[in-house]
Amino acid sequence: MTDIFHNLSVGFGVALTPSNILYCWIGATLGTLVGVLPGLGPVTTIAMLLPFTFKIPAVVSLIMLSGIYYGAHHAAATSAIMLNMPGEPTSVVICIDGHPMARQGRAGPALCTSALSSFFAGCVSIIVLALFSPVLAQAALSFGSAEYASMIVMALVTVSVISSASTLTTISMAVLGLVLGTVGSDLDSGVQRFTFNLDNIADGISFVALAVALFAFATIMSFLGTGEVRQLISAKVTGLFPTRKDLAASWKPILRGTALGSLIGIFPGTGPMVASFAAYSMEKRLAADPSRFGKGAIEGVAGPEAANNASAFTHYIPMMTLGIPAGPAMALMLAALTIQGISAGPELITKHAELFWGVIASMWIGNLMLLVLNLPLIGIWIRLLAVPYRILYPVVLMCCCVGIYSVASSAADVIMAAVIGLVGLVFEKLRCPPAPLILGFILEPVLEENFRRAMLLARGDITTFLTRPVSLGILLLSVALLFVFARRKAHHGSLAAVAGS
Amino acid sequence: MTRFWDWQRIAGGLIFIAVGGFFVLRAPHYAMGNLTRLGPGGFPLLLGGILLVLGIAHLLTARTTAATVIERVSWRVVLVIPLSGLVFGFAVDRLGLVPTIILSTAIACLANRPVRIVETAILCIFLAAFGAGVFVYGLGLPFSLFPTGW
Repeated sequence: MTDIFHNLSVGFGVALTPSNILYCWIGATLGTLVGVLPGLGPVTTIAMLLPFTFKIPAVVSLIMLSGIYYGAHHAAATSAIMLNMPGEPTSVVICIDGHPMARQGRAGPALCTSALSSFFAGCVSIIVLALFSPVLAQAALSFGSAEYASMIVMALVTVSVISSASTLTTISMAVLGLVLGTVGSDLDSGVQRFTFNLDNIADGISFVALAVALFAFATIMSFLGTGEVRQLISAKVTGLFPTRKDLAASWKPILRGTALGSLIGIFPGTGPMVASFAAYSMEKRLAADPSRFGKGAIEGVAGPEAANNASAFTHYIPMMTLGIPAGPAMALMLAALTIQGISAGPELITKHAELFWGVIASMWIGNLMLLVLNLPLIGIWIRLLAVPYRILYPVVLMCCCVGIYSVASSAADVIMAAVIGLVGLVFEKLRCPPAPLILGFILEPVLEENFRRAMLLARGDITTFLTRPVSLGILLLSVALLFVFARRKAHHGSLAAVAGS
Repeated sequence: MTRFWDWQRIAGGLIFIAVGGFFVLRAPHYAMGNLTRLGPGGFPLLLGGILLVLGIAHLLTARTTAATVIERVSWRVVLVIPLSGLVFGFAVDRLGLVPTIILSTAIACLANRPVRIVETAILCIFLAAFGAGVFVYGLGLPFSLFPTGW
């Protein structure tokens, strides 16, 4: 226990330097901005800014990128409540009850409840992150290559089953990501694979170009293509604070949401959406009068918002201790570390203690900043909702192009990203989501390395993945997930329908 | 019950088959190794094979009971946004950052209708100044601002 306090004091020593506070503030503010603005999300923003972080120290870059990430999670509820338009997919469920509350003139209490539950969930789940990461890292140290490979397979299965698209399709997208990940020089022999003497893919397809193409170019195209539908509540937000009755109704959902979200976030591959959907359906099931849901029940805001933010923080656990990201945003964080030469995994906490604890400490500071940004200053953000998308997307496009170019001073990467962006749009129209692909892509080198090492250790006996008990357990769990979710999808159609049922 | 072909699923399946098939055919160009010691071609062959099978599974399950609704595609957007990126890529080394940003931003703004000329012009100039100020002077990225020789 004294260890924790020692580590945290090291962490705060790192996080409380003036420049790191500044970067944390920049991240949190930027995150709030993009979280509020529909059509511009944390994944797009992190992808866009990733290249610019290569020149600053890893801890600073992670502090800032994390600020963007949790800031956006925090603020996404604002546009859900005010516009009935989720700032992020994570806040889709907040629309269901948050927007009706705003229509009834209760936007203030809805916004305040969501800010308070985010803050509470954040504070608690950061503690979970600090306490649980070293434990999991310790456990992961005993993993052999076979276990590691199975773990990655499970993460890919998880990210595939939770998507609302057909599971067959999402699994295929994950495998496609793996296939694309093999392009470039072979880790073992250095042989150039599938590069066809093209210079700009000799070291593999640029992760930045791929991420920007899929999460910025394609996203902009699909957003412009669908057109904007806005229903801004024009009534002034009066009376920010919830009534005593609201507080009495929301404290239990906040506690339940925090617990559920923290737990869900620990599993690799769960992505950002599961927690809020699960919390919503839990609240609905527990409610004395479920018919109130969808008509402005405050529990439908408090619970999912707490779960959403709690899982946002505990998602760092598998990313940092196992090197397995939970979703696209975490994949980008992982890339931010990898490009700096830091490999996430069980040894990260001990080898890069300052980075790990510094980032955790900065999260608390950032969370406090967000409370200020989201409560007293909420008026500013609501006004920003009126910024038209036609001004935003050219700015994003320009920053993306400059960013991709700056990674390797490669104009060819920009051209490649433009083309991949087009492919990304095609995939979207074919109901093939990009999240499993990006996860597969970033995990391929680790999966291949561990698969090959496991085969070597087992002398070519592929049943090693089934005869080692931990590996078998992980694989059985993956198969179970596959069947449970495939059945649910067959019955309900999609996750959204599951939450609504 | 009437049954329909799910064209999106078929198209997706064909893409997976094409990519998977390509990697399966191409992987043997690299050393395969054996199961104990996989060569550089071994793992891509395995992955390509899995993708190929998954793609075929798409075709086999493409009969549905619900007609698919294919979303409207805005061709204007689909052409203009990648074009903006392509122009940036082809121009940046030749023209320098400032003309490139003006050009690619002007093109990007065409994606939105109606095209607002004054707004686009202001945005182009602002972004060019912003790009030069932040990326070149602020972050010190190695861009030339104008065509070399100026």
